[in-house]
Amino acid sequence: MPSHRVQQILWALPDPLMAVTSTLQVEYINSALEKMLGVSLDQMQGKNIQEAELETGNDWKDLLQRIKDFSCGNSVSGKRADRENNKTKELINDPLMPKNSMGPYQNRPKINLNSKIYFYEIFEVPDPQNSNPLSVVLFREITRDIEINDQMVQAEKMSGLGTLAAGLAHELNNPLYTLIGFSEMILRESDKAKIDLIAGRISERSKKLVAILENLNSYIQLNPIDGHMTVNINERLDAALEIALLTHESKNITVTKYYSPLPFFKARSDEIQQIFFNIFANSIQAMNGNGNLEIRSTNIDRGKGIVVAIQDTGEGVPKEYIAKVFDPFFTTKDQGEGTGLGLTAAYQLVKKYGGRIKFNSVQGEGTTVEIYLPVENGTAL
Amino acid sequence: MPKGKVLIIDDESDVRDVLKFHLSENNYQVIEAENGQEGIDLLKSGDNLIHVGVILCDIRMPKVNGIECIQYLRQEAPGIPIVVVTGFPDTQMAVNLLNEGVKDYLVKPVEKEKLVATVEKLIAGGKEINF
Repeated sequence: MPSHRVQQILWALPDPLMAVTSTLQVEYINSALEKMLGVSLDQMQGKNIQEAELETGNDWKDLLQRIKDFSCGNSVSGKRADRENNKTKELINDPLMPKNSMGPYQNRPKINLNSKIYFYEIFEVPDPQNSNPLSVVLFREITRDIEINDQMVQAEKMSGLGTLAAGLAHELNNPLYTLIGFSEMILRESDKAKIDLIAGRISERSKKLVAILENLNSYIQLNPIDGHMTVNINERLDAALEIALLTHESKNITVTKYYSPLPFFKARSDEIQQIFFNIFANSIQAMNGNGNLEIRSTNIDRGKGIVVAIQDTGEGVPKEYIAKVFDPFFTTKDQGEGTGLGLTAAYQLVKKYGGRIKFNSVQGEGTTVEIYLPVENGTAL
Repeated sequence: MPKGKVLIIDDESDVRDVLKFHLSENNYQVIEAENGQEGIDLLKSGDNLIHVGVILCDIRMPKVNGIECIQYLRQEAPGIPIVVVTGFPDTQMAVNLLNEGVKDYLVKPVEKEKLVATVEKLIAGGKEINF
């Protein structure tokens, strides 16, 4: 292809493009970049880009620095800065914010010009007449993408909050209602024995309320690793199972246990129980009160690891949702039936103890959740 | 002589007990069911279809849930007024249910006076008969 045709193509490219030398002399800009900066190729060609009076802000300075670094083969600093940025982002992560909140442009360098947002990439083109290659910057406008992404993030956040609020309202309103009613019953009652009976129910109900709030608290806040005890995993499995069966429709569920002797595991026993409870609760709900729950605990790597597999014959999770099951507020249950935080919390807890969690599901057949926990200095049981 | 018969459909026995307590105190006869299916069966048994004056129904229940139950009741016993009593405040759902012929939407914890007044008003209004 003749070179003037190539030039025409570059010129007509809808994405802004510029080529500069290592000393920031402008070699070429295309028509889209003319529009973006409000300058013309004739004005700019051969000029040092830093000397051109452009109405630009800090992003532009950052871009020029990146070009300089890039042409000195010193692109590491830019990358390091990126990495450090990401680190702070992770630290101040909003728990209501879904992952990948900025979409595909999250970690890309961006520039804000005349209320438009562009992301850009720098690449080099070797120059046969010069030992220093040309740096070419290709921009793409992403203003609209970011707007849409922001809206989606907001919508997801709101739906998450709504689900949580509705779930909470239901969990709390029912027991509160009965507490009010029971105390009214006591006010009307003169028979001591009956009063005792009702007072007993009030106390029982109030404890359930406390349990609900504690449960919620453990969803939201992970306690730091402290107060570790040696935990017997098989015992925690049994304890979690008992509560899960009691608190869910489970009349026709058969449970099969294959427990191996396990080394003790150093952890907070309530957190380990929480992991199992959250998974059991999902399994039992998925079976709608009918099915088989199989629990298997094994000792692997000569005592260095524990694997717990929990398998149900429930309705399973559709393929397209499997990747989302650990996302906060993701739920396949009806509004108010789940907070969508159960597996998120389980995942976070397993990660806290350096473990892994695997989720396999076939719609209509059932789900298997496998948890691996690494044992440090395990003591045989 | 009771003022009327009320069918309570709610999966939590504590909640049923409190509703029953408030209504019995005001001289209503109460029959209870712990899910939609049981509620439908109970309504069909004996002379309940004739004597039940109001149905109080929860939404979130195992087996047949409240929404399904209400749709069924509206078909099989269109004359008996239904009141939803739920711990689940949801305006959109309330509007939809009211459009489907539900007479009232009470959110737990519902005040005793409000509950009794609602039941009283509906029983006094009698059953709707569509010709």
